[in-house]
Amino acid sequence: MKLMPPIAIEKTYKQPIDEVWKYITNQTYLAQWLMPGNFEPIVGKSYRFDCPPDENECSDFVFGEILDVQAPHTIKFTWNTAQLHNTTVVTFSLVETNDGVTFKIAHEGFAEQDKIECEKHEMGWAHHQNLIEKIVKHEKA
Amino acid sequence: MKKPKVDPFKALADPRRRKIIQLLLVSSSLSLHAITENFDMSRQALTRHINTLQESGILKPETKGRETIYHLDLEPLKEVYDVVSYYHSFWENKLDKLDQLMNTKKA
Repeated sequence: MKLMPPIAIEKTYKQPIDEVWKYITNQTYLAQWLMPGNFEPIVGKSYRFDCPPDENECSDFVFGEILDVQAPHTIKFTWNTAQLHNTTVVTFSLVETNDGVTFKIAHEGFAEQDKIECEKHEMGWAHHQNLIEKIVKHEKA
Repeated sequence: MKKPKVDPFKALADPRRRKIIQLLLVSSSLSLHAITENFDMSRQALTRHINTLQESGILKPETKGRETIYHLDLEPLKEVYDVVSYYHSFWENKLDKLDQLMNTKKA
């Protein structure tokens, strides 16, 4: 199976490293910017994130296992969804710089044939109503 | 999936075609006759709209005896993203959200 090159993005924050670490590893904070779930920074621990229904995100839920934790610098975990054919791996790393803390996200292991499909058609009547409304808006826009 | 002759979003641009879809969302499959009963227009005009929906791939005909039964296929309305660009914008949005969160909140 052919894999896609990893995704690597980063952003620098002015908060101290310990504070950013808390935001990227503690489930209470993760729920506020990533997704709500039972994530814990403990090696070997399984987690699950549920997509909030009001957000237009495609996967119903994400699940995986914590692979490595080097507080307050790196945390590595697997990332699975129903739409992905294979297990992908996410690494969060924090690097202190003169400007603050750079938060780097690496996401790797995507299969070349994988596509993400939004709007599943088996979701029932309420969802279809939504979809039609969205389409109407789409054409007005 | 092969590309439909008519853009599915364009097919939905007409209120009468959307009404056909609404009817099929409720009943799952309907004959041309049953669809006609819900409209105040000629069978010929309705057939044109049905053909447009059919060409967009949203409407699928099935011959049952002497009648044609129509049902929906909403597959053409799905948006398909390549996985890497999907997750690239996913994480980018999340990084911005984290920034806003940390700036508005004194932890």
